[in-house]
Amino acid sequence: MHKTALEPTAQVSTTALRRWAAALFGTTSIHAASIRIATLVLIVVAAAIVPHFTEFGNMQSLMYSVAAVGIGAIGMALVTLSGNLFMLSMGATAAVSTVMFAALIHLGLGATLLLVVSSGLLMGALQGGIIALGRANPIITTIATSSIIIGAGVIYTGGLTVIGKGDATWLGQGRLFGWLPNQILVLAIFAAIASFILQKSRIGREIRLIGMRAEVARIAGLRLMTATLVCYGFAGAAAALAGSLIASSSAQGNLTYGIDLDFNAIAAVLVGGISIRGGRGQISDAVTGAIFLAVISNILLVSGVSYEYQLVAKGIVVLAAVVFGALLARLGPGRK
Amino acid sequence: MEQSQRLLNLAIRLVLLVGMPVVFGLCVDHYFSQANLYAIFQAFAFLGIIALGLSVTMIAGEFDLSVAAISTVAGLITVKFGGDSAMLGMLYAIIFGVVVGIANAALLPWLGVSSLVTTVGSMMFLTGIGYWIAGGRVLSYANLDVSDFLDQNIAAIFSPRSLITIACFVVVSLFLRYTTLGRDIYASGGHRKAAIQSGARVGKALTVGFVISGGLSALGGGLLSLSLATASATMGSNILLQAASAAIVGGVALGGGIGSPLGVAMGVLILTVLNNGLGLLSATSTQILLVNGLLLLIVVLLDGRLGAVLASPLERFIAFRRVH
Amino acid sequence: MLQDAKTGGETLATQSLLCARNLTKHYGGVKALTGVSLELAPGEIHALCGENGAGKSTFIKILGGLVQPDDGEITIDGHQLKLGHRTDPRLISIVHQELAIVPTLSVLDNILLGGANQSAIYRRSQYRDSVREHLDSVGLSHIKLDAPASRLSLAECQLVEIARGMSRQAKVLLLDEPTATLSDAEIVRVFDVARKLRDQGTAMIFVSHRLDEVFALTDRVTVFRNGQHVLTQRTADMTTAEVVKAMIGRELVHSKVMPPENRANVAPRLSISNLTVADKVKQLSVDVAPGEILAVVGQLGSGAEVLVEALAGLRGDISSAVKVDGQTVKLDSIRNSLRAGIAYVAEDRADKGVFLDAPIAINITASVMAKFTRAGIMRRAGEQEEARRLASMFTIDPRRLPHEVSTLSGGNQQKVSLAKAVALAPRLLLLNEPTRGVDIGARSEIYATLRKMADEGLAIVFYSTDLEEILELADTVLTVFRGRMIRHKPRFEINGDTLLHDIVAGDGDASHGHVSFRNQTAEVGNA
Repeated sequence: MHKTALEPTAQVSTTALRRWAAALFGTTSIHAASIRIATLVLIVVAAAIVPHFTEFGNMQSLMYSVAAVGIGAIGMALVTLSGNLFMLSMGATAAVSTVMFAALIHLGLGATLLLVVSSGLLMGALQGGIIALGRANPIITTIATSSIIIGAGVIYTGGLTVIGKGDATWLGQGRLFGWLPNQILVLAIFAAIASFILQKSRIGREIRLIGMRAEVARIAGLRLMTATLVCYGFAGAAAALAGSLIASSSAQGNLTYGIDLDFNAIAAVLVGGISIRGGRGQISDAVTGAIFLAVISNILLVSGVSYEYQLVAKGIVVLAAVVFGALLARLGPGRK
Repeated sequence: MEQSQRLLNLAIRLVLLVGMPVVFGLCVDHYFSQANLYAIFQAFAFLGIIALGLSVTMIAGEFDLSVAAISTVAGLITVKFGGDSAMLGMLYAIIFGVVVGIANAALLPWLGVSSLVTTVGSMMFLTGIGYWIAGGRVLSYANLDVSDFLDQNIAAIFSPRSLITIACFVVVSLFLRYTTLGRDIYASGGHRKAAIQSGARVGKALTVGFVISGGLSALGGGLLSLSLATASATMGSNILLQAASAAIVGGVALGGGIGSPLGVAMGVLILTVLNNGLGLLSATSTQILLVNGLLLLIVVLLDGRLGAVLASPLERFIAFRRVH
Repeated sequence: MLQDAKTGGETLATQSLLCARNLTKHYGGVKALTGVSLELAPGEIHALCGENGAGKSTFIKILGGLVQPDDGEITIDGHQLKLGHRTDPRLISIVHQELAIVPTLSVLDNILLGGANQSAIYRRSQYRDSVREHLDSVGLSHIKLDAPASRLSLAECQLVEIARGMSRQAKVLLLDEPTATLSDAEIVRVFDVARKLRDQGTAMIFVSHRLDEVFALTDRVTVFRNGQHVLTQRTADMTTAEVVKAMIGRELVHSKVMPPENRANVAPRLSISNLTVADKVKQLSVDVAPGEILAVVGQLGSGAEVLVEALAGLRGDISSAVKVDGQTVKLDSIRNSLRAGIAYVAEDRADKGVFLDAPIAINITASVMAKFTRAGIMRRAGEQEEARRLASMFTIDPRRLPHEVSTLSGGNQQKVSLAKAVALAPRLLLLNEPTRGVDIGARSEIYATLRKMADEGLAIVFYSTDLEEILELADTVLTVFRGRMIRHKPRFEINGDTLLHDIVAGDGDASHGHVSFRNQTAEVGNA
């Protein structure tokens, strides 16, 4: 075989390094791997130094705070991976889902979850359809739909809290082995499903490739419309599931619950190392990001730091993660 | 976007701007009263200045998501530090806005990160700062003379606040049109790569764009707080959606490079007239929210493929005229 | 010793306007430029030739300050340039190949964009007269200063860029492929402007693939190959063949193409009759037999490229049905085109051809994922095998399959793009500039594979502006001029000169506004 000119050898060894890192950390991204390490270190250090951190009550509180945001982050990750940046209607969807959950819980937990998540899926897919068919800007469209969704919610509830008449304790307070909240179980299952779709299914592969370069995907005949519907549908379902988790703790629904899901999910995705250019990243990155942020918030909380400082800290962490990721991209193998 | 689509969208906006007051005037008593027109321009005063700042970053091809947070914190700063002199408090607030603008822009060319991401981060950060300054309370401003001054009636329907906003529109308009930096801002948004390649000062243009956005947001937030004589950490949280809507309704393209302060003013007027009219018709704040969301959705679709389809007969006509 | 710039004189002058010494740039393991030097005298037009990948664009980027070289220095008019920083546009101005026109700005603003010496206050009125002059001199007197640049044609954009270069009043002007999109009359205008500038003392670097233009216009020619300086000579002292040999390092030998067997009695694979695409392709009819490789040629704007894109389903405005193997197919979408057994390879692989950040194997099977999917889930085993098979067909090392495409050289990346299309087992393969930016070695491998597939029955239609490629690869050549077919001949009946003439001038006796300049173009037409 004729040795074609200019085969860049330096980049071959970088790829080898990345595959090695992949085997070790389950990810090829240095950013994502760093966050994983950072999270572990943070937890270990906190367990050692921070008083009350390892107390049962605090650990429980930590896990519950991870569950809903983690699920939201998984949904957001799929949208980001598809190249559509962010979906800014997840908070509204979650809020409305808490209300729906409370209103339907008398039908039993299983049926309620099925109905609420399906409606979230439909709402998401509808937005995906508008964006794909109408060639509408994804961010502004979801900003618009978020106010429509909340508006519809307010019309239904009149701004009041809906009190559910049913038993949601399995989800709200239930624990496995006495210490692992069922909500974490739900998170794990959801993450597994999302990961499976992304890694093993055809549409998952298409979503990634479209996120990398939509034009190449279009010419290659990939199913752009279907992929958009799937991501947004999935994200809508994720928001609805997150809302259900939130509502289940008291079997009550209110439009202020879960309304901040958008920004928490975005923060988790950014911190976890998923590139906003699309195509690169794993579901587990988003979950790790959510855990990392939750641990930081929890450490501050258990140390008596007020809500304001927690927000400030979160903002700093997000900015730092973004800067870190961008620096890595700059210094890494030069591309294009 | 083809010229035909742009013409169609402009026509729709003009129809809205002229038609809505007519419709509302017929449905509501005293619609054209001095009090009501004054109310419209008071709403214009705040929304206009925020939308103006945001639109400058949009024209440059970016998006400043932190405008609302900047205005909130600016309001808090003005009230907290303006005890003796309102001017001093405002000055601090504006300096703060300018600094945030510089920070937002600083990360851009150097790191190649989209402003959507950096301003999400700064927005979160500033929200936290806002809570910290407020200390969990609603701050009040003692000097009510200032708020009276700011809201007094001028020429029946204006006030110093709305006039300041109008003045800002004029100044920004002149800046964008008659300075090289203004031209470079349009170039940065129109085609970033071409702008860099041809030697336009893209970095400086983006910095100036975000400084304008930050400064104007701060000015708006400070004036609002002085006028209301209060400041809290949750004030103005809705303004981002409204400002984005106003800019887009006002013809600022999401891709960058297209738009003008005059168009933004038109968009702000459309929104304020709409919300004012709906309020007079006893719509709840939810219904108003719904209508705003629907309006934004429709405008976004009109700027996309739906608009192109609707405008195609006009496009054929224009193409025909060009050849013959 | 003062040299006479117009005759070239010696290669070294004591009074050079531009002096670039020993420029070196390595990207990781890639040696883009090694120890390259070039000198320009005032009032000299200097050609820079070389294949894609020879280092020309790196050299240009260094001159413009967009790239920092690892070594070397540049002096212009006695000023030592600060390398890696934007160069003062009064010293050197570059008219880039990739147009730096902002479509949302007016023509006037575009020309003034990035200029030096502009005060903060921007009063357009003070520049209008001089810009008008520059526009008129490049033949754009019909363009209004305030017209939005989005309304300009590709050629008009190019001329605006040239006008911008002129308005900068730079000491050195670098023109990167300035005539690629221009008609012969427009080229004449540009040459006139260039000569006028030369007489005023401006030095110019003229980067071009069009050797006939190089010989018509320039005083000296420099050739780069593989990142190194090969020669600098007076243009008048060289022949085309010598320049080509310097560029590619060997003699150009056209492969022998066997006259096609009589294809009259074989059912055509592709049958087009009276095809119209908007106002770009008019009533075009042609048949392509199985195993035939057809080249569709024409200059930019002729409709040749549009024809190929339309067959790929990229344009919705195609009218008249097309027949593939006797069956009528509607080609109004990419999906329909693929269903009809037509595969397309785009011209810009980074933007349209390959997923640079995805592994090679994933790229290759991207269009045929359905084949390995059961109930929505992908079966990796079968997919890997198919990827391996296609990789070896295109001589891609199968061990590299898990690596990202971005780690490959341009030539190998193009092979991946081709493999992706061939994975579909198409009946008709469409190629848009099949080997643009591909080095000689990979090029011949690609041609060999294409020829092999054609021999096995695949019909291939390709669009190319590379004359050598057309003569090397095609069985038949279809020439398009202004949307109509003006020639359809087997390759052995065509040679480079007649082909070029057809492309540039159409069928010769077409009368249009440009004809009045024909006398002056005679110089351009003869290579």
